[in-house]
Amino acid sequence: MIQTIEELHEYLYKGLQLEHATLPPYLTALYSLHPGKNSDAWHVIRVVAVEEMLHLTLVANVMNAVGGMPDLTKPGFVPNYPTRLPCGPDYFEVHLRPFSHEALDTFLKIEKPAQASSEEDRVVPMDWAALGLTSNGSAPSPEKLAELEESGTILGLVPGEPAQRFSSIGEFYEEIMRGINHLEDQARKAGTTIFTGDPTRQVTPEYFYSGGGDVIKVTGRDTAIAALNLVAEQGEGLHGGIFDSQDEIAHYYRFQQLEKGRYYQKGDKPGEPSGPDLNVDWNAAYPVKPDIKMADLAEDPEILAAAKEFNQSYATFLTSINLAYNGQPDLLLKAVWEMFRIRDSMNRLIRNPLTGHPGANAGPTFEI
Amino acid sequence: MTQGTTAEEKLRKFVKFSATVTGFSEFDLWGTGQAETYYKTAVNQEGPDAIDKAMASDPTAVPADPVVGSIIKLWYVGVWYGLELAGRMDVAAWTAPGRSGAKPAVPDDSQPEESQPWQAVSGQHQAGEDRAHASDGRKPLFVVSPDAYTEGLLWRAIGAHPSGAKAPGYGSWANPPTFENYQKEEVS
Repeated sequence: MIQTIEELHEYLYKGLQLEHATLPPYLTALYSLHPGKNSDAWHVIRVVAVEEMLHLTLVANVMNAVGGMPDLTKPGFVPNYPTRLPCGPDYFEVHLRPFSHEALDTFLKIEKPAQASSEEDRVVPMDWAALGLTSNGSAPSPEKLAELEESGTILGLVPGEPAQRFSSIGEFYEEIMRGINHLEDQARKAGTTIFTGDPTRQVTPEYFYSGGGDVIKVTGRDTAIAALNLVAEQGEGLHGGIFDSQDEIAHYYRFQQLEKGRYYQKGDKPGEPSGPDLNVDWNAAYPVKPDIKMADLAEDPEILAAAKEFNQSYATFLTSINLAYNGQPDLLLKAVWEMFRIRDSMNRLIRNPLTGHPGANAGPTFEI
Repeated sequence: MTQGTTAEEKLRKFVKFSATVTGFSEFDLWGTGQAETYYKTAVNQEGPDAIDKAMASDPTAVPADPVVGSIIKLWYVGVWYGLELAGRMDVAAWTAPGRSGAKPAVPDDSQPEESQPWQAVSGQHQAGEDRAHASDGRKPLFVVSPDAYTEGLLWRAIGAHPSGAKAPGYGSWANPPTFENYQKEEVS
Protein backbone atom coordinates (compact mmCIF):
# COMPACT_ATOMS: atom_id res chain seq x y z
CA MET A 1 0.00 0.00 0.00
CA ILE A 2 2.86 2.35 0.70
CA GLN A 3 4.05 3.29 -2.77
CA THR A 4 5.78 6.63 -2.31
CA ILE A 5 8.12 8.23 0.18
CA GLU A 6 5.43 10.84 0.94
CA GLU A 7 3.05 8.04 1.92
CA LEU A 8 5.72 6.56 4.17
CA HIS A 9 6.15 9.95 5.83
CA GLU A 10 2.41 10.15 6.39
CA TYR A 11 2.38 6.70 8.01
CA LEU A 12 5.27 7.65 10.26
CA TYR A 13 3.47 10.82 11.35
CA LYS A 14 0.50 8.67 12.31
CA GLY A 15 2.94 6.43 14.19
CA LEU A 16 4.17 9.41 16.20
CA GLN A 17 0.58 10.42 16.91
CA LEU A 18 -0.28 6.89 17.98
CA GLU A 19 2.71 6.43 20.30
CA HIS A 20 2.07 9.77 21.93
CA ALA A 21 -1.67 9.10 22.28
CA THR A 22 -0.96 6.35 24.83
CA LEU A 23 0.87 8.71 27.17
CA PRO A 24 -1.99 10.86 28.53
CA PRO A 25 -4.04 7.78 29.54
CA TYR A 26 -1.04 6.04 31.11
CA LEU A 27 0.12 9.15 32.96
CA THR A 28 -3.37 9.99 34.21
CA ALA A 29 -3.68 6.51 35.72
CA LEU A 30 -0.12 6.59 37.08
CA TYR A 31 -0.50 9.89 38.89
CA SER A 32 -3.97 9.04 40.16
CA LEU A 33 -2.35 6.53 42.53
CA HIS A 34 -2.32 7.78 46.10
CA PRO A 35 1.17 8.86 47.12
CA GLY A 36 3.13 6.16 48.90
CA LYS A 37 0.61 3.41 48.07
CA ASN A 38 0.37 0.84 45.29
CA SER A 39 4.06 0.80 44.55
CA ASP A 40 3.72 -2.34 42.38
CA ALA A 41 1.12 -0.73 40.14
CA TRP A 42 3.10 2.52 40.14
CA HIS A 43 6.24 0.82 38.86
CA VAL A 44 4.45 -1.24 36.24
CA ILE A 45 2.62 1.73 34.71
CA ARG A 46 5.67 3.96 34.94
CA VAL A 47 7.91 1.53 33.05
CA VAL A 48 5.36 1.24 30.25
CA ALA A 49 4.90 5.02 30.00
CA VAL A 50 8.67 5.57 29.83
CA GLU A 51 8.99 2.95 27.09
CA GLU A 52 6.24 4.69 25.10
CA MET A 53 8.44 7.79 25.20
CA LEU A 54 11.25 5.67 23.77
CA HIS A 55 8.89 4.45 21.03
CA LEU A 56 8.02 8.03 20.12
CA THR A 57 11.73 8.79 19.77
CA LEU A 58 12.38 5.64 17.73
CA VAL A 59 9.62 6.50 15.28
CA ALA A 60 11.01 10.04 15.01
CA ASN A 61 14.44 8.58 14.23
CA VAL A 62 13.00 6.41 11.46
CA MET A 63 11.15 9.41 10.04
CA ASN A 64 14.29 11.54 10.08
CA ALA A 65 16.32 8.76 8.48
CA VAL A 66 14.00 8.64 5.47
CA GLY A 67 14.04 12.41 5.01
CA GLY A 68 10.82 13.20 6.88
CA MET A 69 10.15 16.02 9.32
CA PRO A 70 8.47 14.98 12.57
CA ASP A 71 5.80 17.49 13.62
CA LEU A 72 4.40 17.11 17.12
CA THR A 73 2.89 20.58 17.02
CA LYS A 74 0.39 19.98 14.21
CA PRO A 75 -3.22 20.76 15.20
CA GLY A 76 -4.90 17.52 16.24
CA PHE A 77 -1.64 15.76 17.13
CA VAL A 78 -2.94 15.27 20.67
CA PRO A 79 -6.29 13.49 20.51
CA ASN A 80 -9.41 14.94 22.05
CA TYR A 81 -10.09 12.01 24.41
CA PRO A 82 -11.56 9.51 24.16
CA THR A 83 -9.68 8.31 21.13
CA ARG A 84 -10.33 4.99 19.42
CA LEU A 85 -7.93 2.19 18.56
CA PRO A 86 -8.49 -0.96 16.51
CA CYS A 87 -8.21 -4.37 18.13
CA GLY A 88 -9.05 -7.14 15.69
CA PRO A 89 -12.70 -7.01 14.69
CA ASP A 90 -13.56 -4.14 17.05
CA TYR A 91 -12.58 -0.64 17.92
CA PHE A 92 -12.25 0.28 21.58
CA GLU A 93 -12.27 3.64 23.28
CA VAL A 94 -9.24 4.95 25.13
CA HIS A 95 -10.27 7.30 27.91
CA LEU A 96 -8.38 9.45 30.36
CA ARG A 97 -9.26 7.61 33.55
CA PRO A 98 -7.94 7.06 37.06
CA PHE A 99 -6.30 3.75 37.91
CA SER A 100 -9.10 1.18 37.97
CA HIS A 101 -10.14 -2.18 36.57
CA GLU A 102 -11.61 -0.36 33.55
CA ALA A 103 -8.38 1.55 32.93
CA LEU A 104 -6.30 -1.63 33.19
CA ASP A 105 -8.67 -3.38 30.81
CA THR A 106 -8.07 -0.62 28.24
CA PHE A 107 -4.31 -0.78 28.75
CA LEU A 108 -4.37 -4.53 28.09
CA LYS A 109 -6.28 -3.90 24.86
CA ILE A 110 -3.79 -1.21 23.77
CA GLU A 111 -0.87 -3.61 24.21
CA LYS A 112 -2.59 -6.84 23.20
CA PRO A 113 -0.50 -9.05 20.91
CA ALA A 114 -1.97 -8.98 17.42
CA GLN A 115 -3.66 -12.17 16.34
CA ALA A 116 -2.04 -13.70 13.33
CA SER A 117 -4.14 -12.47 10.46
CA SER A 118 -4.23 -13.60 6.89
CA GLU A 119 -3.17 -11.23 4.13
CA GLU A 120 -6.78 -10.33 3.38
CA ASP A 121 -7.57 -9.60 7.03
CA ARG A 122 -4.78 -7.12 7.63
CA VAL A 123 -6.93 -4.28 6.38
CA VAL A 124 -10.68 -4.23 6.91
CA PRO A 125 -13.41 -1.76 5.94
CA MET A 126 -14.36 0.80 8.58
CA ASP A 127 -17.56 -0.12 10.36
CA TRP A 128 -18.95 3.33 11.12
CA ALA A 129 -22.15 1.95 12.60
CA ALA A 130 -20.22 0.01 15.26
CA LEU A 131 -18.10 3.04 16.09
CA GLY A 132 -21.14 5.16 16.83
CA LEU A 133 -19.50 8.39 15.75
CA THR A 134 -22.00 9.22 13.04
CA SER A 135 -25.71 9.60 13.70
CA ASN A 136 -27.06 7.00 11.29
CA GLY A 137 -24.07 4.69 11.10
CA SER A 138 -23.15 5.72 7.57
CA ALA A 139 -19.69 6.88 6.63
CA PRO A 140 -19.04 10.52 7.45
CA SER A 141 -18.77 13.16 4.74
CA PRO A 142 -15.29 13.54 3.20
CA GLU A 143 -14.69 16.76 5.16
CA LYS A 144 -15.78 15.18 8.45
CA LEU A 145 -13.68 12.12 7.66
CA ALA A 146 -10.59 14.21 7.06
CA GLU A 147 -11.20 16.05 10.32
CA LEU A 148 -11.71 12.80 12.28
CA GLU A 149 -8.54 11.34 10.85
CA GLU A 150 -6.42 14.42 11.42
CA SER A 151 -7.66 14.93 14.98
CA GLY A 152 -6.54 11.57 16.29
CA THR A 153 -10.14 10.77 17.27
CA ILE A 154 -9.75 7.45 15.44
CA LEU A 155 -6.35 5.85 15.14
CA GLY A 156 -5.39 2.98 12.88
CA LEU A 157 -7.14 4.23 9.75
CA VAL A 158 -5.28 3.60 6.52
CA PRO A 159 -3.65 6.93 5.64
CA GLY A 160 -5.06 8.22 2.38
CA GLU A 161 -7.84 5.63 2.42
CA PRO A 162 -9.73 6.31 5.61
CA ALA A 163 -12.68 4.11 4.65
CA GLN A 164 -10.28 1.27 5.50
CA ARG A 165 -8.52 0.51 8.71
CA PHE A 166 -5.80 -1.79 9.97
CA SER A 167 -7.03 -4.74 11.98
CA SER A 168 -4.50 -3.93 14.68
CA ILE A 169 -1.69 -1.54 15.52
CA GLY A 170 0.72 -4.40 14.87
CA GLU A 171 -0.52 -4.52 11.28
CA PHE A 172 -0.10 -0.77 10.96
CA TYR A 173 3.60 -1.12 11.85
CA GLU A 174 3.90 -4.19 9.66
CA GLU A 175 2.78 -2.00 6.75
CA ILE A 176 5.42 0.61 7.57
CA MET A 177 8.13 -2.06 7.54
CA ARG A 178 6.88 -3.48 4.23
CA GLY A 179 6.78 0.06 2.82
CA ILE A 180 10.36 0.69 3.86
CA ASN A 181 11.52 -2.57 2.30
CA HIS A 182 9.55 -1.96 -0.89
CA LEU A 183 10.75 1.62 -1.36
CA GLU A 184 14.34 0.79 -0.45
CA ASP A 185 14.38 -2.14 -2.93
CA GLN A 186 13.15 0.19 -5.65
CA ALA A 187 15.66 2.88 -4.73
CA ARG A 188 18.55 0.43 -4.74
CA LYS A 189 17.61 -0.78 -8.21
CA ALA A 190 17.93 2.82 -9.33
CA GLY A 191 21.25 3.09 -7.50
CA THR A 192 19.94 5.28 -4.69
CA THR A 193 18.49 4.88 -1.20
CA ILE A 194 15.54 6.23 0.78
CA PHE A 195 17.82 6.79 3.78
CA THR A 196 18.77 10.30 2.78
CA GLY A 197 18.16 11.95 6.16
CA ASP A 198 20.84 14.03 7.85
CA PRO A 199 22.43 11.76 10.51
CA THR A 200 22.81 14.71 12.90
CA ARG A 201 19.02 14.75 13.21
CA GLN A 202 19.11 11.35 14.95
CA VAL A 203 18.46 11.19 18.67
CA THR A 204 21.29 9.02 19.94
CA PRO A 205 21.78 7.36 23.34
CA GLU A 206 23.77 10.26 24.83
CA TYR A 207 20.60 12.36 24.67
CA PHE A 208 18.33 9.75 26.12
CA TYR A 209 18.82 8.39 29.62
CA SER A 210 16.84 6.04 31.92
CA GLY A 211 14.46 5.67 29.07
CA GLY A 212 13.44 2.02 29.05
CA GLY A 213 15.95 0.58 26.64
CA ASP A 214 18.46 1.99 24.26
CA VAL A 215 17.50 4.38 21.56
CA ILE A 216 18.58 3.12 18.12
CA LYS A 217 20.32 5.42 15.67
CA VAL A 218 18.63 4.84 12.32
CA THR A 219 20.88 5.13 9.29
CA GLY A 220 19.63 2.44 6.96
CA ARG A 221 17.24 -0.40 6.41
CA ASP A 222 18.56 -2.70 9.15
CA THR A 223 18.47 -0.09 11.88
CA ALA A 224 15.04 1.15 10.75
CA ILE A 225 13.59 -2.35 10.97
CA ALA A 226 15.34 -2.91 14.32
CA ALA A 227 13.83 0.30 15.71
CA LEU A 228 10.32 -0.58 14.54
CA ASN A 229 10.66 -4.15 15.79
CA LEU A 230 11.64 -2.85 19.22
CA VAL A 231 8.49 -0.72 19.27
CA ALA A 232 6.36 -3.75 18.48
CA GLU A 233 8.17 -6.18 20.78
CA GLN A 234 8.20 -3.95 23.85
CA GLY A 235 4.44 -3.70 23.54
CA GLU A 236 3.39 -7.20 22.80
CA GLY A 237 6.46 -9.40 23.22
CA LEU A 238 8.69 -11.12 20.70
CA HIS A 239 6.37 -13.21 18.51
CA GLY A 240 3.72 -12.88 21.20
CA GLY A 241 6.03 -14.15 23.96
CA ILE A 242 6.22 -12.70 27.45
CA PHE A 243 9.70 -11.28 26.95
CA ASP A 244 11.12 -9.13 24.19
CA SER A 245 14.49 -9.67 22.52
CA GLN A 246 16.18 -7.61 25.27
CA ASP A 247 14.68 -9.86 27.97
CA GLU A 248 12.29 -7.16 29.08
CA ILE A 249 8.74 -8.16 29.93
CA ALA A 250 6.40 -6.88 27.22
CA HIS A 251 3.81 -4.26 28.17
CA TYR A 252 0.84 -6.55 27.76
CA TYR A 253 2.28 -9.01 30.27
CA ARG A 254 3.42 -6.25 32.63
CA PHE A 255 -0.19 -5.08 32.84
CA GLN A 256 -1.46 -8.61 33.12
CA GLN A 257 0.60 -8.99 36.31
CA LEU A 258 -1.64 -6.35 37.93
CA GLU A 259 -4.73 -8.23 36.87
CA LYS A 260 -3.38 -11.58 38.12
CA GLY A 261 -1.79 -10.24 41.30
CA ARG A 262 1.47 -12.04 40.53
CA TYR A 263 4.72 -11.26 38.75
CA TYR A 264 5.99 -13.18 35.76
CA GLN A 265 9.32 -14.92 35.87
CA LYS A 266 11.45 -16.66 33.29
CA GLY A 267 9.94 -19.86 31.96
CA ASP A 268 6.32 -18.86 32.65
CA LYS A 269 3.60 -19.47 30.11
CA PRO A 270 1.49 -16.50 28.96
CA GLY A 271 -1.43 -16.04 31.34
CA GLU A 272 0.21 -18.07 34.13
CA PRO A 273 2.64 -15.91 36.08
CA SER A 274 4.37 -17.83 38.87
CA GLY A 275 6.64 -15.16 40.36
CA PRO A 276 6.22 -13.27 43.64
CA ASP A 277 2.85 -11.92 44.76
CA LEU A 278 1.95 -8.44 43.70
CA ASN A 279 -0.44 -6.27 45.66
CA VAL A 280 -2.88 -3.87 44.11
CA ASP A 281 -5.12 -1.62 46.17
CA TRP A 282 -7.81 -0.72 43.65
CA ASN A 283 -9.26 1.92 45.96
CA ALA A 284 -6.04 3.84 46.59
CA ALA A 285 -6.50 6.16 43.61
CA TYR A 286 -7.93 9.65 43.24
CA PRO A 287 -11.28 9.55 41.40
CA VAL A 288 -10.20 11.65 38.40
CA LYS A 289 -13.24 12.67 36.34
CA PRO A 290 -12.97 10.56 33.16
CA ASP A 291 -12.08 12.49 29.98
CA ILE A 292 -12.15 15.71 31.95
CA LYS A 293 -12.38 18.94 29.91
CA MET A 294 -11.80 22.59 30.74
CA ALA A 295 -15.57 23.05 30.51
CA ASP A 296 -15.96 20.81 33.58
CA LEU A 297 -13.93 23.22 35.70
CA ALA A 298 -16.10 26.33 35.48
CA GLU A 299 -17.01 26.17 39.17
CA ASP A 300 -13.42 25.69 40.32
CA PRO A 301 -11.49 28.78 39.20
CA GLU A 302 -8.18 27.82 40.87
CA ILE A 303 -8.26 24.40 39.26
CA LEU A 304 -9.32 25.90 35.92
CA ALA A 305 -6.32 28.23 35.99
CA ALA A 306 -3.97 25.37 36.83
CA ALA A 307 -5.46 23.15 34.11
CA LYS A 308 -5.02 25.94 31.57
CA GLU A 309 -1.44 26.44 32.66
CA PHE A 310 -0.83 22.71 32.39
CA ASN A 311 -2.13 22.60 28.82
CA GLN A 312 0.09 25.53 27.90
CA SER A 313 3.16 23.94 29.46
CA TYR A 314 2.35 20.65 27.73
CA ALA A 315 2.15 22.45 24.39
CA THR A 316 5.50 24.12 25.13
CA PHE A 317 6.92 20.73 26.04
CA LEU A 318 5.78 19.20 22.74
CA THR A 319 7.43 22.14 20.97
CA SER A 320 10.71 21.41 22.79
CA ILE A 321 10.56 17.72 21.93
CA ASN A 322 9.78 18.65 18.36
CA LEU A 323 12.87 20.84 18.14
CA ALA A 324 14.88 17.94 19.57
CA TYR A 325 13.50 15.71 16.82
CA ASN A 326 14.30 18.35 14.20
CA GLY A 327 18.04 18.75 14.40
CA GLN A 328 18.65 19.79 18.01
CA PRO A 329 18.76 16.48 19.90
CA ASP A 330 20.55 18.07 22.86
CA LEU A 331 17.28 19.86 23.69
CA LEU A 332 15.92 16.50 24.79
CA LEU A 333 17.97 16.76 27.98
CA LYS A 334 16.28 20.05 28.86
CA ALA A 335 12.91 18.65 27.90
CA VAL A 336 13.40 16.14 30.72
CA TRP A 337 13.30 19.04 33.18
CA GLU A 338 9.99 20.05 31.65
CA MET A 339 8.75 16.47 32.05
CA PHE A 340 9.44 16.57 35.77
CA ARG A 341 7.58 19.87 36.12
CA ILE A 342 4.71 18.42 34.09
CA ARG A 343 4.63 15.45 36.47
CA ASP A 344 4.34 17.78 39.47
CA SER A 345 1.56 19.81 37.80
CA MET A 346 -0.36 16.65 36.93
CA ASN A 347 -0.06 15.42 40.50
CA ARG A 348 -1.43 18.67 41.87
CA LEU A 349 -4.40 18.67 39.49
CA ILE A 350 -5.28 15.07 40.18
CA ARG A 351 -5.22 15.52 43.97
CA ASN A 352 -7.74 18.36 43.86
CA PRO A 353 -11.39 17.48 44.52
CA LEU A 354 -13.89 19.27 42.27
CA THR A 355 -16.66 21.30 43.85
CA GLY A 356 -18.60 21.40 40.58
CA HIS A 357 -18.64 17.59 40.37
CA PRO A 358 -18.83 16.19 43.91
CA GLY A 359 -17.02 12.90 44.36
CA ALA A 360 -14.74 13.48 41.39
CA ASN A 361 -11.25 14.95 41.21
CA ALA A 362 -9.62 17.19 38.65
CA GLY A 363 -6.96 16.07 36.20
CA PRO A 364 -5.07 17.31 33.16
CA THR A 365 -7.40 17.78 30.20
CA PHE A 366 -4.74 17.59 27.44
CA GLU A 367 -6.73 20.07 25.35
CA ILE A 368 -3.84 21.48 23.38
CA MET B 1 -23.94 9.15 53.39
CA THR B 2 -24.58 12.09 55.69
CA GLN B 3 -21.54 11.18 57.73
CA GLY B 4 -19.33 11.06 54.64
CA THR B 5 -20.50 14.45 53.49
CA THR B 6 -19.84 15.92 56.90
CA ALA B 7 -16.33 14.49 56.98
CA GLU B 8 -15.70 15.91 53.52
CA GLU B 9 -17.04 19.31 54.55
CA LYS B 10 -14.78 19.33 57.61
CA LEU B 11 -11.78 18.47 55.48
CA ARG B 12 -12.62 21.23 53.00
CA LYS B 13 -12.97 23.68 55.88
CA PHE B 14 -9.59 22.60 57.22
CA VAL B 15 -7.94 23.15 53.85
CA LYS B 16 -9.63 26.52 53.43
CA PHE B 17 -8.39 27.62 56.84
CA SER B 18 -4.93 26.22 56.15
CA ALA B 19 -4.74 28.24 52.92
CA THR B 20 -5.39 31.41 54.89
CA VAL B 21 -2.65 30.74 57.42
CA THR B 22 0.01 29.22 55.13
CA GLY B 23 -0.24 31.74 52.29
CA PHE B 24 -0.60 28.94 49.74
CA SER B 25 -3.78 28.45 47.73
CA GLU B 26 -6.32 25.75 48.47
CA PHE B 27 -5.33 24.28 45.10
CA ASP B 28 -1.71 23.98 46.24
CA LEU B 29 -2.67 22.42 49.56
CA TRP B 30 -4.90 19.78 47.98
CA GLY B 31 -2.09 19.28 45.46
CA THR B 32 0.21 17.94 48.16
CA GLY B 33 -2.02 14.90 48.56
CA GLN B 34 -1.61 15.30 52.33
CA ALA B 35 -4.80 17.18 53.27
CA GLU B 36 -6.66 14.23 54.74
CA THR B 37 -3.62 12.85 56.54
CA TYR B 38 -2.80 16.22 58.05
CA TYR B 39 -6.36 16.81 59.19
CA LYS B 40 -6.45 13.40 60.87
CA THR B 41 -3.09 14.03 62.46
CA ALA B 42 -4.15 17.36 63.93
CA VAL B 43 -7.44 15.96 65.20
CA ASN B 44 -5.80 12.89 66.70
CA GLN B 45 -3.15 14.92 68.45
CA GLU B 46 -5.20 17.79 69.82
CA GLY B 47 -8.77 16.54 69.64
CA PRO B 48 -11.58 17.75 67.37
CA ASP B 49 -12.67 20.56 69.69
CA ALA B 50 -9.21 22.14 69.82
CA ILE B 51 -8.97 22.04 66.04
CA ASP B 52 -12.44 23.55 65.59
CA LYS B 53 -11.51 26.27 68.08
CA ALA B 54 -8.22 27.00 66.28
CA MET B 55 -10.00 27.25 62.94
CA ALA B 56 -12.44 29.74 64.46
CA SER B 57 -9.61 31.91 65.81
CA ASP B 58 -8.29 35.04 64.17
CA PRO B 59 -5.89 33.79 61.49
CA THR B 60 -3.98 37.07 61.54
CA ALA B 61 -3.26 36.97 65.29
CA VAL B 62 0.39 37.48 66.26
CA PRO B 63 1.76 35.36 67.76
CA ALA B 64 -0.37 32.66 66.19
CA ASP B 65 -2.50 30.45 68.37
CA PRO B 66 -0.24 27.46 69.25
CA VAL B 67 -2.55 25.00 67.50
CA VAL B 68 -2.56 27.21 64.42
CA GLY B 69 1.24 27.39 64.64
CA SER B 70 1.41 23.60 64.67
CA ILE B 71 -0.88 23.38 61.63
CA ILE B 72 1.25 25.87 59.69
CA LYS B 73 4.44 23.99 60.46
CA LEU B 74 2.78 20.72 59.54
CA TRP B 75 2.06 22.00 56.02
CA TYR B 76 5.50 23.51 55.58
CA VAL B 77 7.71 20.68 56.82
CA GLY B 78 5.44 17.65 57.18
CA VAL B 79 6.31 17.33 60.86
CA TRP B 80 3.75 17.52 63.65
CA TYR B 81 5.06 19.78 66.38
CA GLY B 82 3.03 19.53 69.56
CA LEU B 83 1.85 22.82 70.96
CA GLU B 84 4.77 23.11 73.34
CA LEU B 85 7.10 22.96 70.33
CA ALA B 86 5.15 25.02 67.84
CA GLY B 87 7.26 28.10 68.50
CA ARG B 88 10.60 26.38 68.06
CA MET B 89 12.95 27.86 65.51
CA ASP B 90 15.16 24.86 64.73
CA VAL B 91 12.94 23.44 62.01
CA ALA B 92 15.82 22.86 59.64
CA ALA B 93 17.77 20.91 62.23
CA TRP B 94 14.90 18.45 62.49
CA THR B 95 14.01 18.11 58.86
CA ALA B 96 17.42 18.05 57.22
CA PRO B 97 18.07 14.77 55.41
CA GLY B 98 19.63 12.18 57.63
CA ARG B 99 18.61 13.91 60.80
CA SER B 100 15.28 12.23 61.30
CA GLY B 101 15.57 10.43 64.59
CA ALA B 102 18.77 12.19 65.47
CA LYS B 103 19.16 14.49 68.42
CA PRO B 104 18.08 18.00 67.61
CA ALA B 105 20.97 20.21 66.58
CA VAL B 106 19.67 22.89 68.88
CA PRO B 107 19.32 22.05 72.59
CA ASP B 108 15.72 21.39 73.33
CA ASP B 109 14.57 23.41 76.32
CA SER B 110 10.96 22.52 76.03
CA GLN B 111 11.45 18.85 76.74
CA PRO B 112 10.33 17.85 80.22
CA GLU B 113 13.39 16.48 82.02
CA GLU B 114 11.81 13.30 83.29
CA SER B 115 10.58 12.07 79.89
CA GLN B 116 12.38 9.77 77.50
CA PRO B 117 14.33 11.40 74.67
CA TRP B 118 11.90 12.03 71.86
CA GLN B 119 12.29 10.26 68.65
CA ALA B 120 11.21 11.65 65.37
CA VAL B 121 10.85 8.50 63.35
CA SER B 122 9.04 8.75 60.07
CA GLY B 123 6.51 6.19 59.09
CA GLN B 124 5.80 4.90 62.57
CA HIS B 125 3.24 7.45 63.58
CA GLN B 126 0.59 7.22 60.95
CA ALA B 127 -2.39 9.47 61.01
CA GLY B 128 -5.30 7.75 62.66
CA GLU B 129 -3.08 5.61 64.83
CA ASP B 130 -4.26 5.07 68.37
CA ARG B 131 -2.98 7.47 70.89
CA ALA B 132 -0.26 5.46 72.50
CA HIS B 133 2.91 6.89 73.90
CA ALA B 134 2.55 9.36 76.73
CA SER B 135 -0.18 9.18 79.33
CA ASP B 136 -2.31 11.71 77.44
CA GLY B 137 -1.58 9.96 74.15
CA ARG B 138 -0.02 12.99 72.49
CA LYS B 139 3.22 12.78 70.60
CA PRO B 140 5.02 16.06 70.61
CA LEU B 141 7.07 15.57 67.47
CA PHE B 142 7.01 13.24 64.51
CA VAL B 143 7.29 13.18 60.73
CA VAL B 144 3.78 12.37 59.55
CA SER B 145 4.80 10.16 56.61
CA PRO B 146 7.62 9.80 54.08
CA ASP B 147 5.47 11.72 51.58
CA ALA B 148 4.87 14.53 54.04
CA TYR B 149 8.58 15.28 53.87
CA THR B 150 8.65 15.55 50.08
CA GLU B 151 5.37 17.47 49.93
CA GLY B 152 6.41 20.16 52.44
CA LEU B 153 5.48 23.64 51.24
CA LEU B 154 8.90 24.92 52.20
CA TRP B 155 10.41 23.43 49.05
CA ARG B 156 8.08 25.35 46.77
CA ALA B 157 8.44 28.45 48.91
CA ILE B 158 12.17 28.52 48.22
CA GLY B 159 11.97 27.30 44.62
CA ALA B 160 13.83 24.10 45.46
CA HIS B 161 13.05 20.41 45.61
CA PRO B 162 13.36 17.94 48.48
CA SER B 163 16.74 16.22 48.48
CA GLY B 164 16.50 12.67 47.30
CA ALA B 165 12.94 13.05 46.00
CA LYS B 166 11.09 14.80 43.14
CA ALA B 167 14.22 14.88 41.03
CA PRO B 168 14.23 17.90 38.72
CA GLY B 169 16.28 16.26 35.95
CA TYR B 170 19.95 15.81 35.09
CA GLY B 171 21.80 19.10 34.79
CA SER B 172 18.85 21.24 35.92
CA TRP B 173 20.99 22.50 38.79
CA ALA B 174 22.85 24.68 36.32
CA ASN B 175 19.75 26.91 36.23
CA PRO B 176 18.56 29.32 38.91
CA PRO B 177 15.62 28.08 41.01
CA THR B 178 12.26 28.32 39.28
CA PHE B 179 9.88 30.51 41.19
CA GLU B 180 6.28 30.23 40.31
CA ASN B 181 4.27 32.98 38.68
CA TYR B 182 1.84 33.70 41.42
CA GLN B 183 4.68 34.44 43.82
CA LYS B 184 6.20 36.97 41.42
CA GLU B 185 2.84 38.65 41.04
CA GLU B 186 2.30 38.86 44.75
CA VAL B 187 5.72 40.34 45.37
CA SER B 188 5.54 43.01 42.70
